[in-house]
Amino acid sequence: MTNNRFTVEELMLDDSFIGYCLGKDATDIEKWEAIINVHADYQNVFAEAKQLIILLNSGLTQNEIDKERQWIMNEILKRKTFIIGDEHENQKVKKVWYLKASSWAYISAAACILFIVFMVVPKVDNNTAAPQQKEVFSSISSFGEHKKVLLPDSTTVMLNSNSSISWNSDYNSTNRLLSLRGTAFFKVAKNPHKPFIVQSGTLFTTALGTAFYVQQSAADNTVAVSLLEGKISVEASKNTDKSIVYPGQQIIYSKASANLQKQSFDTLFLHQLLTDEISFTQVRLKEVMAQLAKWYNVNIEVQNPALKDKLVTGVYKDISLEDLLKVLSFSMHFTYTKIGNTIIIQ
Amino acid sequence: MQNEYNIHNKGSDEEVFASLLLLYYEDLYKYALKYIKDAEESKDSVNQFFIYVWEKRTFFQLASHTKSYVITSFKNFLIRSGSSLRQNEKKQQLYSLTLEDKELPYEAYILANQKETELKQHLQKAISNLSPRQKQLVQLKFYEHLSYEEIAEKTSLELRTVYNKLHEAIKQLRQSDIIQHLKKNIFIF
Repeated sequence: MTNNRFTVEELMLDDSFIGYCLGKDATDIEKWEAIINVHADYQNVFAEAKQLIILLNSGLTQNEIDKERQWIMNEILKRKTFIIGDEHENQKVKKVWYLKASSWAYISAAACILFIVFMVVPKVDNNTAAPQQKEVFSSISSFGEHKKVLLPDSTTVMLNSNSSISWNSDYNSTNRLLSLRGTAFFKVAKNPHKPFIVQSGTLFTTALGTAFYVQQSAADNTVAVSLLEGKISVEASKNTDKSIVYPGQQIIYSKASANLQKQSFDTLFLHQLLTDEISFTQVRLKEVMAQLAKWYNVNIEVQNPALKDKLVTGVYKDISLEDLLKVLSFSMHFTYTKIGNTIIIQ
Repeated sequence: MQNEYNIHNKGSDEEVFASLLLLYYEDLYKYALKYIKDAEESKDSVNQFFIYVWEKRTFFQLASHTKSYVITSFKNFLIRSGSSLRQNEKKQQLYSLTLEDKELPYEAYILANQKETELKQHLQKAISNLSPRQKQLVQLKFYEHLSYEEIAEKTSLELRTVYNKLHEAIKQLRQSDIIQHLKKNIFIF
């Protein structure tokens, strides 16, 4: 519109104006909000065109859609809990689900779900407090897998190999308490009123909206918390001194001495981990394996000396350790076996 | 807008699924309305479809025509859930069990959707006063959100004719009672 004379008809026939009215496209919204601001004298024309478009569209408003989406996402998060339970019980719940909300069957389904939750609770949650009336949700990554989890407050968690997180149904009510076993990266949604707390063994890490990586190593009995953005406080148990950590710093907690030690760390690795893309250009196999060990938080031993200096080139994105090893072992003619948390390459 | 989503591999996660929801929720809802003619029931069926997709995500292979693929899957889902609900008499009426692609008149969608009855009546009346061609074009543009090129192709009209006829139709809509009704609320937003 270069002539600056707006008519209802022309506005309604402009695809970008329609996009603005229905709230579908951020660029259109920005563009038209600016135009409408400048042309206050055409207020009524804009208003009429917008109302007609909304009426004729006659669909759901963005709010209604958001409400339904929220409901679906919640259902899905709930469902993930049952995956830990017995497969058989899991099947049962799925079937009942497709009946309608208004029928009696729904009520019995609800009863059934509650029943199963109580069955699951003791299995996943025997070391955290109060397993009484709360539903427990958890997410588990398998060996050599990077698993992304979206929490109800839109915090994202990337679980590294062989790790799990669990949280209660009151997560996000007064605070956001999670318990972690293993290693994970947290990108916390900002909410200064609800502190985000990660419990890893006896170590508590509190954040208000930040990105950090918690790494538990069973071998030397330590927990490392590395911070990328924001500010976190770490306490060794509920009533000891807090230690404040700033971006680029890392805190190491040793369970034996119950001692917190602060140091700086290599942030590049964490940034790479987050893109979940790993690449090698003419890198020796022994170095590749050292990187993969760090990447998936596992131990890798190369036993055949002839292999160590072979060169590897490749870019891998969102790939599990197992798939990557399959590819490499095929192209470089080696075999691998897994013993506990260690992979042996021959 | 991104049109290609891969929800078939194990690397899929809630975020991808959430964006899929955002892209297709309204399309599927409108599609459901054709057969179910009730806003709440339609929302329910779309919700259940998405949960079904989530559970079966390892079997879904999204190719290049993502939208038509999703709509076809949804149609099959409706047929299946329709036949499993046949024992319920009310449901039987709601689902037209022969899901052949027959179109409802535009006014029927309006009837199913608008909450405010007075407005609904005005709008229905305004639309029914349009010529069949005008009505079809308004529906394709404002309900189904097709581009001018797509409308021209679908109706075998010239691009320019599509535009002119729509212009005419809007002009006519604006002369109806609906505008008086809207003017009352015009400062609401």
